[in-house]
Amino acid sequence: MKRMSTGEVILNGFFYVILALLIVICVYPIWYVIVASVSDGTYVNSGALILLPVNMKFTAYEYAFSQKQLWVGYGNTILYTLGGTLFGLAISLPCGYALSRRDMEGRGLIMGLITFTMYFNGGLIPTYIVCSALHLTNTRLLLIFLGSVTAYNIILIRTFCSSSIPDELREAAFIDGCSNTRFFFMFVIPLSKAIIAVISLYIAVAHWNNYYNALVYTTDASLQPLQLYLRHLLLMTTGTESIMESDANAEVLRLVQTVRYAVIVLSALPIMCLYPFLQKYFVQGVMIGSIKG
Amino acid sequence: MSNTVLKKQREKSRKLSNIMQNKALYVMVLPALVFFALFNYWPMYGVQIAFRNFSFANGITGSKWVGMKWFNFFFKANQFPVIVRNTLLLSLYDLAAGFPFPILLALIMHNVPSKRFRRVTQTATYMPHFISVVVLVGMMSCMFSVNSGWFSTIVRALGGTPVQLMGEAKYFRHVYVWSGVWQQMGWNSIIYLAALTSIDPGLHEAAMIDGAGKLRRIWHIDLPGIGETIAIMLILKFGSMMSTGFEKIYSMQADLNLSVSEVISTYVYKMGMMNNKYSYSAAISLFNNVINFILLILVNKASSKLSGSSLW
Amino acid sequence: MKTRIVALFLSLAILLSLCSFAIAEEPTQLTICIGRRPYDSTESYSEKHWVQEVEKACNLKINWIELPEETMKEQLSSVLTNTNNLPDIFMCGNKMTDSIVSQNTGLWHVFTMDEIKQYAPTYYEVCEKYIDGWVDATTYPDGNIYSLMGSVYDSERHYSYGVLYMNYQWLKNLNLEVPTTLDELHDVLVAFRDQDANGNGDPNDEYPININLKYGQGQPLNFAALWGLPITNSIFYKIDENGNVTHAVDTQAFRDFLTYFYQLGQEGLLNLEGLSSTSDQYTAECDAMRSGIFGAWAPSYLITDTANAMQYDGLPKITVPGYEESFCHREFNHANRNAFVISKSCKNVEAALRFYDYISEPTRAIEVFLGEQGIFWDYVDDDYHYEMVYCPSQETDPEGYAAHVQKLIDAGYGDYVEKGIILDGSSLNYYNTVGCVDYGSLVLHAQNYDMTNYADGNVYRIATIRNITERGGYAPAMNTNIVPAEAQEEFDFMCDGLSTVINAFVSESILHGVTDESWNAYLKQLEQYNYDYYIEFFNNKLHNSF
Repeated sequence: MKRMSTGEVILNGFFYVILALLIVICVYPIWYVIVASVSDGTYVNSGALILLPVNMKFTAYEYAFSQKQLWVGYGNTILYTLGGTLFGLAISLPCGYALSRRDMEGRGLIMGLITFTMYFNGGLIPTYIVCSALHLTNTRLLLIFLGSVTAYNIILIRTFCSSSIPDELREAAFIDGCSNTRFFFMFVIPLSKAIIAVISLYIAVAHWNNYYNALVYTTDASLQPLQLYLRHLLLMTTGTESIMESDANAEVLRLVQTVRYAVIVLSALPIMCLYPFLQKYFVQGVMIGSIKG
Repeated sequence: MSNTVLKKQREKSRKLSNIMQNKALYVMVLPALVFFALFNYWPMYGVQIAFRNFSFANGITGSKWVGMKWFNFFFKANQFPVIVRNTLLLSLYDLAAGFPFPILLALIMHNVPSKRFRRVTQTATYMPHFISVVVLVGMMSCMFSVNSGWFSTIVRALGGTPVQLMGEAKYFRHVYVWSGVWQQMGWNSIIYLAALTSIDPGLHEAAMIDGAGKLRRIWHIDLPGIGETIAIMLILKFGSMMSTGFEKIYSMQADLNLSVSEVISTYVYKMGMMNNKYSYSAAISLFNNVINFILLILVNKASSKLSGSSLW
Repeated sequence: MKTRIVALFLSLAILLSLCSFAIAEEPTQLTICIGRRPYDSTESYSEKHWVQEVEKACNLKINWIELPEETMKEQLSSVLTNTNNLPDIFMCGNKMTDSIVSQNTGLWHVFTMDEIKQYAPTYYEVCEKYIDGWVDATTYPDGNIYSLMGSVYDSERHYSYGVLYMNYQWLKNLNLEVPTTLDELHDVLVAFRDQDANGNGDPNDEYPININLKYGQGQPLNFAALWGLPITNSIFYKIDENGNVTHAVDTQAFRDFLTYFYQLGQEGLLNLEGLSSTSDQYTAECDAMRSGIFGAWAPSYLITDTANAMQYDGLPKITVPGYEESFCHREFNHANRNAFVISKSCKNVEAALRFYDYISEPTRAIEVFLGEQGIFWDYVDDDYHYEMVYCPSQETDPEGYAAHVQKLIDAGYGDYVEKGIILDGSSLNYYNTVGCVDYGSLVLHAQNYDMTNYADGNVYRIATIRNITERGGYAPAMNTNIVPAEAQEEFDFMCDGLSTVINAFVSESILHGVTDESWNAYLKQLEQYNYDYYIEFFNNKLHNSF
């Protein structure tokens, strides 16, 4: 290890302090949510909750866990997330790479076509009609498809590939008789681990959090993902203008207030745990140097 | 004359042979194009809803054609100037404040010597992204409460007078933007972290041998190394100027701050709530997208001239 | 041997005849799109008692498309988009709005009077006998009837929006008289502010008046009634003594009200944070017994502890010099005219109508609404007035309790009993939704309230509403006539943003006061946002003169 200069030490110290502060201000709210999910809603909302649970109770979890729909939802969500991520990667990755190739004829046109979809869409009703014509409404397949391939992700992959896969590498490989397909599998994928990790995360999180597609395209409760069920839990008391609007009485209100926090714990913790696993792909980059050398 | 024809022909045959040679690339693009054709281009015929008076009964192509009626309504709407102004101001502020921080964070995290510490920070800063808007606003409301929030207690202890941060119009933009920076900073830095990993470590080693300090290396190696990613992200950001998040603004709205917090998305929601105005909402979103797209094209052109990075 | 053959033969014969019976009586299939209550603890509507009964009685097989109430608006749009494959029947409560019906007339079956008389005689009779003008109420501006009525007709609880409640225990704690004038009220508020009214040892944690803009019933505009303005955050007119719609939010009364509320805020008698805090905070403040006067549906809807909730009762009549109180009165007729709509896709209109007719019989209608008679509710007279049945307390009346539990088990609610849920007519029933509450057929009368049962929060509400009604404190109500689509559309665009302007001014004025300058700027804005047109529109609506 080389010796660090004083300037370097100070700079590192500075970085550590900033990051430590960031950790505190980012972890505190998460802690707050966890603690609030086991506290009495009244205390939470009167500002009494600062660090420790007040009047601890687990009613929100008891309620949620007693519902069969929660487990159905978990199962569906995992399926949609896994399926959507794999499907999305399989389609976006080759496309993004191909479009990163400056020697590809017509890539500007294709990029334009793809970017266009970020801005113009038929809207909800025509999309629904199309899905219905494809016989995809009320199916799991549709919930896997929708949102798994986006122009945004393809653009990110393209940008990454164009700056991290050197032309020299390809030229060298091609001289050795490597084909495009082979190059993609042998070199592009191993060199793109970081972006694959990022895109997987984006697709997975988008699928995990999505309730809207299920809301619009399914009416069958057995197909519904976790988030849609949790959303029902959250909105329980706000179905206003009901003739029985009065039925949101105090106890239910209280339940909903803590359920709101429990919902985050139930829905976000699993997906939060995904990130640390993906992080190990973020420290690559050694390979290019070694190939070049 | 014949020379140019020849040139063109040669060019054509070169292109053709290039395409034949790179057939595989087109095969790679094909599935994505099929996907977009099915789920994005096919439904686009529905854009005509914006020019018709849509009802379920008559369907998209059967509803009455009304031309520019909905657009005229929107441009003449009492609130039109206010909501467009609010939307743009909020977007610009959000861009100015929200854009640099993830980059800074990524650079700092990337350059912290301890690997473990780096991972912990990454995970910690990414977590707030998962707090839903309703809960976030509820939390802020409790913390900033003049009567009972701990933030106000601190302000009082420091000799200040707490104010209604969540209510008054003059604080709305700041609270909205900075809470957003805090919530999304870690999440948005991920893409930059990924880009940083693709920088050749050899460059750093060479610079170190030349005696370049860390700051200089960050400035001269890391930053240019992710330059293209930054440029692309910026272009995309500009291309969504007219679209602001809906849920958070809506939850943060109070009658007191409506003069600055009513934006296009909340307006559409409120209009759509009454009487199912599908056509009107479609017209407004079409208008938004056209503006967004024009902005995107302009910024993309500028970027391609200035930095060489462009979307197409 | 012989007997065996005979037995075999006989059983074969029985089997055959059963089969042929089944073929002859193949049940009619109906697909019904219906709302689902948030707390519904059944897996599906087909489990519900009333559904099984009606399927048997009418020989139907019903396929349910159940849309959860919270997301029903979006999902109903999806269902309607699929015009080739519509359900036969829509029972979507108030989510099937007048505008959905009137904008999509091509999707619905048009009812004829003969048809109703022939296939739905019970419905016809009930309407004829009990509901004045029922034909007009369900006829759309184009002269057609697209829907039948349902839900509860004429419910007293809905006469009012937010009702104001005051803590009478605090008055007692501080030895104060019940206020009757604005000055007396002011003295009471000052006492609430300065002394430890709730007796928790902290004299500073009371909000004499609590308000909240995000909580539907906690609006400061509830108090404008004392200045003779029956307005809410979405109703900005009043109906004068001549029966005309007139201006409300540009009057001196309105300015006086705002000025007074600004004063209250400045003196610390009003929780100003309510202008921006969340409804959860409001709920928490009320639950913690920190609010002297607040608006709510009923105290028990914000306050968990029954004894605490019982400290509150309706705000007494407070006279403001120069003004006559006038509370906002909701529309009278609360039957939902779009409760039952048959789609064009329905192949068997007769079966659909017979189904609705069956559940329109008054007793069945209440059973569809709330669950079985005798367990959840029972009649108090011969005219279909009913009362909820409450399970006796296990401690004070163990026999009554056991009997109720037995009744539940007999009626097939054993599962609930096992889970420790003792269903009865209290609000518990709405959570578990034994009936179908908002999505059923026409119930003639609202529940008869037993004014001594404080377990039911509605008792406070009804008592207060009756009190205000008796002292003549309600403004006349707007009617529920359907506005023609073009008029409605024009209105939506002309008056877009008007409520934003008014509500923002209310908040701004309560926080910072009204000056001549701000008032004039506001009046100019009202003009710009077509307040005059707004008044005219509602005048036309009131007189049905579009």
